[in-house]
Amino acid sequence: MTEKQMVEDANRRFMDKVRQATIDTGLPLVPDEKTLDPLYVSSRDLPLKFIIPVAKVRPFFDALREGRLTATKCKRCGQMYFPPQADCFRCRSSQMEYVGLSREALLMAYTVINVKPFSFMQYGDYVVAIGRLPEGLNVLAWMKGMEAAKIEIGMKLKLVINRREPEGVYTYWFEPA
Amino acid sequence: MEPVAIAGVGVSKFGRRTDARMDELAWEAFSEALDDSGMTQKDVDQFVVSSLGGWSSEFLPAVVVGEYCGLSSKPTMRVEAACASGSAAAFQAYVAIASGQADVVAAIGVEKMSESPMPTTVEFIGRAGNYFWEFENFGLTFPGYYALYATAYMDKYGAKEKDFAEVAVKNHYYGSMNPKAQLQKRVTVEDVMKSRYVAWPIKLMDSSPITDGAAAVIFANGNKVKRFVKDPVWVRSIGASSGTSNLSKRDGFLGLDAAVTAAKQAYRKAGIDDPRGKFDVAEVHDCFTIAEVLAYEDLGIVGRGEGFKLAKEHQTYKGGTLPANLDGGLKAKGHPIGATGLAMLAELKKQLTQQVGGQRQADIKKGWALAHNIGGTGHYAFVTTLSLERGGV
Repeated sequence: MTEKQMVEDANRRFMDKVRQATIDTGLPLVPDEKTLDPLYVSSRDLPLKFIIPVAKVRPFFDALREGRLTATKCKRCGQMYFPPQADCFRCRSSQMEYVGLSREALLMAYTVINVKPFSFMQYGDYVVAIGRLPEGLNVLAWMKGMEAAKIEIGMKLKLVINRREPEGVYTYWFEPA
Repeated sequence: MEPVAIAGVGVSKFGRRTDARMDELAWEAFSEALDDSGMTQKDVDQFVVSSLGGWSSEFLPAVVVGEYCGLSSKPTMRVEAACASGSAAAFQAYVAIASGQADVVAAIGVEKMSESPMPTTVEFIGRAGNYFWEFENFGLTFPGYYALYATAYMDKYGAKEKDFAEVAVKNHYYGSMNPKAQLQKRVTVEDVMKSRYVAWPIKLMDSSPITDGAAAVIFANGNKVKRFVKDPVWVRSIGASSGTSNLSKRDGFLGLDAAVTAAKQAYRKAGIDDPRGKFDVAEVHDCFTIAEVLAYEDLGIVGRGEGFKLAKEHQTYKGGTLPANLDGGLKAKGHPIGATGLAMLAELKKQLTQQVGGQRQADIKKGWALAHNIGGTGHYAFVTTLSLERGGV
């Protein structure tokens, strides 16, 4: 059983208990497994699904589909933003151009996510890295293609842009250069 | 500016509190603070509630807590500064009193983290950064954020995982003597090293637990409410700062800039030129062991790259350079997000007035204490100085 299935399985068994308790007693009360304190299990579920506007940074996603990672650059003062932002807080201009970023970076920091958020449990352990680009901007992304034990701070990385499965969504990640 | 004193403190038992709802936990702490101060609800002008929430059922914690504690009709609000929410509540109370807007303000911090299934709570904490740019595609977790700092720090200064483990050993040692702590078991460096990785190089036993708990601090104008302020501890300064939401926007990963700024501000406001040797005791934000090491440096107690040596040399035990987290810290006492900052101040008030006693009681010689409370990964920072002397105000 995968990690995700184990969590789902435990949740199913717990909810079975709640349903049985409700049938037997008319109350959704179950004892806590450790303390035996009675817990009232709410009947109201709330799945969270966020729907996020990207109208103001749409060109970033168009470029990503074409295999380019872009930052925004203020046409007035030259300030660059990554992640891209539509408004320059320095000179209050919203006249931005999208500039392609270098594909090379140096590794500044990394970690291996061993205990994953539930919504990422379909993946094996993954490396999250922060790389510094020659432009002086940092990018945070996954790092693939290298055993975690061999990774060294300061090593050269390259940025890869492609679809990531199983979602099939365009994103970017690092690989050893 | 009006002088701000801590008139009373209370802390609930921390842990997996399956016996109590959020409002019941808040009462446990607030009623103790009322007892400690000799006040009743009538004496309180305003109350402010710190709670992060998401994992708990009540969406408006301030009014739920207010109703349960008999404070309804008084001005209130909920404040959020992630894991530093408690300090944000203290900051709000401090500003209200110092400015003359109120004479007595209760700051009540509470977090009910076990009200959702564990995976939900873990997922929410992992989103404590920038959701869209750094969580959506990259699935960071809270230990993951600090692990980025840990790998950069280890590479630069040669610190080892077992050096960080020393922080856990110390904090569990003191937690074992704190009846309100969640984890009251002593551990060894080997125990920490054997625990499983959660975000390499951070292991389960480098991490603070998921905690239910509450803490309350009643602040009062020292000029106007003298009859209540018997053994006063004075808030001498609060320094506050913030950092970028995206970790990729940080210049480096060797310290938390927000903490450095907050500390400098707190020292300047309190007239402290050099923090070294100034404080009898400190509470520092040890959500992970690396965080406590960074705290020693960000607070200016030691130089860059020296923090792990301080831990290794046991200089932050009682009697050392800076006794830190003598209540067990977030690591062993527990980390109920919204309550943590206020629990720090509650502990320091008891330390300075020597009400702690036993092996956990710091030697109080200078009468100064220091609190360092971080929200997220240097997303928010508050540094508070407390003193037995009132100072110039």
